[in-house]
Amino acid sequence: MGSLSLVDQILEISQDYLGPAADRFVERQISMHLKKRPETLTKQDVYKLIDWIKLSFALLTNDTGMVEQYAQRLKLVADGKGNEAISQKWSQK
Amino acid sequence: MSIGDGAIVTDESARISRINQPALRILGYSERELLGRWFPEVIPAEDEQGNRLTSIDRPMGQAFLSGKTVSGRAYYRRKDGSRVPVFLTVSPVMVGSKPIGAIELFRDISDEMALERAKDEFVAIASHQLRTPATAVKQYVGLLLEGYSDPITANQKLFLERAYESNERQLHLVQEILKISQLELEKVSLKIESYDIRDIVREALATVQGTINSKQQKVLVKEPDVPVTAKVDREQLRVAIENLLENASHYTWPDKTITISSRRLKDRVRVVVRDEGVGIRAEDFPKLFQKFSRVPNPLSLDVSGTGLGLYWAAKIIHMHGGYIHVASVPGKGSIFTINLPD
Repeated sequence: MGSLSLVDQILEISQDYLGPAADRFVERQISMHLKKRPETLTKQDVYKLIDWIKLSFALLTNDTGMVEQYAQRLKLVADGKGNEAISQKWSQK
Repeated sequence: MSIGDGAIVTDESARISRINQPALRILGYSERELLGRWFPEVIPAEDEQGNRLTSIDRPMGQAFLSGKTVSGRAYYRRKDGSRVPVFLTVSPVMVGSKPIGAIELFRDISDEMALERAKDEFVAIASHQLRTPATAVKQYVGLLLEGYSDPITANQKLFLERAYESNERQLHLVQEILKISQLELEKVSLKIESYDIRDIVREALATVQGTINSKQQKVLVKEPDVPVTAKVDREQLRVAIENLLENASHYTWPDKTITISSRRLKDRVRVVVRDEGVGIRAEDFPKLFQKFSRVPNPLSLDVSGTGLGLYWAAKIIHMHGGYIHVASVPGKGSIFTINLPD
């Protein structure tokens, strides 16, 4: 798991919330807000991305807990704790 | 924003945090009924046909995706279940570089739409009525030219030929206006079937080949060896592609190349028309797909057109659930990309 790139870690987590739409959702957010290719993401980029992902995801679900948890797990990725973030699975609070 | 515009502010969870009186009046709710509610659920947005817009497709989703202000039309459901057409503008609310929600301004455009519809109906009737006498003029001038009356002099023949050509242009214009007004009045419906887009591209190319040949331009067709299938209205898509090709030829100098390609992507089919023409300035992009719009450029005086071709193409592609994207560099050329859903 340690060998996963930042974008792969984000995608892995995003799958839990967005299923098959995760790739496209994340790819769009990266290209629109960061104007970068997914494989060139840095941890700083992930911090920036979280706010936009959170807003867009909040339009897809009424479950605030889910939105918050998704953002928290992405923050762990940005903090360099991707393994921890991936090992947490989405659970209804 | 005017005094009668509705305004809704949402927080980072897409919940309504503020709403003004005009918004409540337009939507038929009280403030208590909306504050804190999840915006996409309590105020669903729909398209013209009554299909509910997904969160990503509604202007707020587009604003979050682009990070910019987005404007557009949509239909909102009032508390009593009735529909109200609105023109809305959504902007992400930023604190520094951090987005924290959105503000949406909207106004009821029911009266404007009723007026627009009345205008479209008038144009449809007027152009239909204009076509009949203009066709009769063509017929009688044609009879004179064919010698069905007394012999005519060389000068009379010249004048009649000019009258005939002008009448043909007039009929073409009336026909185009009639076509557009039918589209506006939703009298054009698509006959959707599965087709190989490569065939439609070839048909469109065959139709405009004469125009391209007359300017000694070259055409390059790029397509895969396997079928590029999509569910489309063959006839309407052909006309849309024809319009793009004709446009490319009109605004490209002689001896240059026009490239048309079609291919399948993961979730869509793409047709690209690329020219080496005069190009379009970025500030003219918004005018491109407007009715009767002619963008000034070094070749525009040489081109006689109605300014309806791109408008028609964009409308037809939109009816398919797709969109046209344009990219251009003045002096280098333009790329028009049709994206069609799977």
